[in-house]
Amino acid sequence: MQFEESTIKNALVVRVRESRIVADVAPQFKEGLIAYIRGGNKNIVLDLSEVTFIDSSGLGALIGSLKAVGTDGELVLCGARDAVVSMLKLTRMDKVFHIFGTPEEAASSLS
Amino acid sequence: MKCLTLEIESQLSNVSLMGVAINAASAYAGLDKEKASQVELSLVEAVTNSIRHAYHGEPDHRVIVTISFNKNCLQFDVYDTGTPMHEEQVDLLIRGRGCIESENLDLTSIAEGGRGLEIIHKTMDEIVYKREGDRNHLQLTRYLGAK
Repeated sequence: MQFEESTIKNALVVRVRESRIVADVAPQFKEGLIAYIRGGNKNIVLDLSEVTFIDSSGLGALIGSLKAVGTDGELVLCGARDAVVSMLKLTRMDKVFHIFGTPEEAASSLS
Repeated sequence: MKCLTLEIESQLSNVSLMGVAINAASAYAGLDKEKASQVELSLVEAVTNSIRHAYHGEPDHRVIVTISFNKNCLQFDVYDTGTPMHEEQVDLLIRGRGCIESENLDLTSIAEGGRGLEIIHKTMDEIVYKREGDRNHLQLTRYLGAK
């Protein structure tokens, strides 16, 4: 599982460098995100613009990461493609995650 | 009726290849991009269940998916020779329980897992599960032009 990191304002932007977040990579995906959270990053923007598909295991990893952030910080999404948005809507998780178009918009929401 | 059979070894790393092929076949059969993605999601969940629950994550078994379609519907037959599905799982798959609709969206209450069968229930028009001798046969049908 590869991530690319950058900073916008006071947010850590984590770009997911995988096209599919599914059962075989979901544990590493969650592990990677939890490492950022445990590393003290409180405002995280997860850039999903390269992700074309996510299954229920991938969604579970996202939910687990959001729970790990807890009330001390925020984890928001940006760049979600149609299939990912469709999955979030199908499971009503679009009401749980804050979803933005670009990393800049997402980072602005956290400042 | 046009027909295609796909077969993979029971490893999670093979599921994406199956999913991509199913998406392409669904688009060829006439589903638009969003519906083809939903069908792909449903089949990825079904095949992942076969590997995780029927085969308990063991490699070197086979999961077979037969895709067939005519002008009215797209049908997927998923076969494995693992452990049968539990009755309550079959009931959840076929009848659904509205778990997604009734889920408390408070962050502390949200479950990380357990959505796979409900996703299949929500995205497919007909679902049949049969134990045929020593194999599981899950038949998933999506109407063309519906949902």
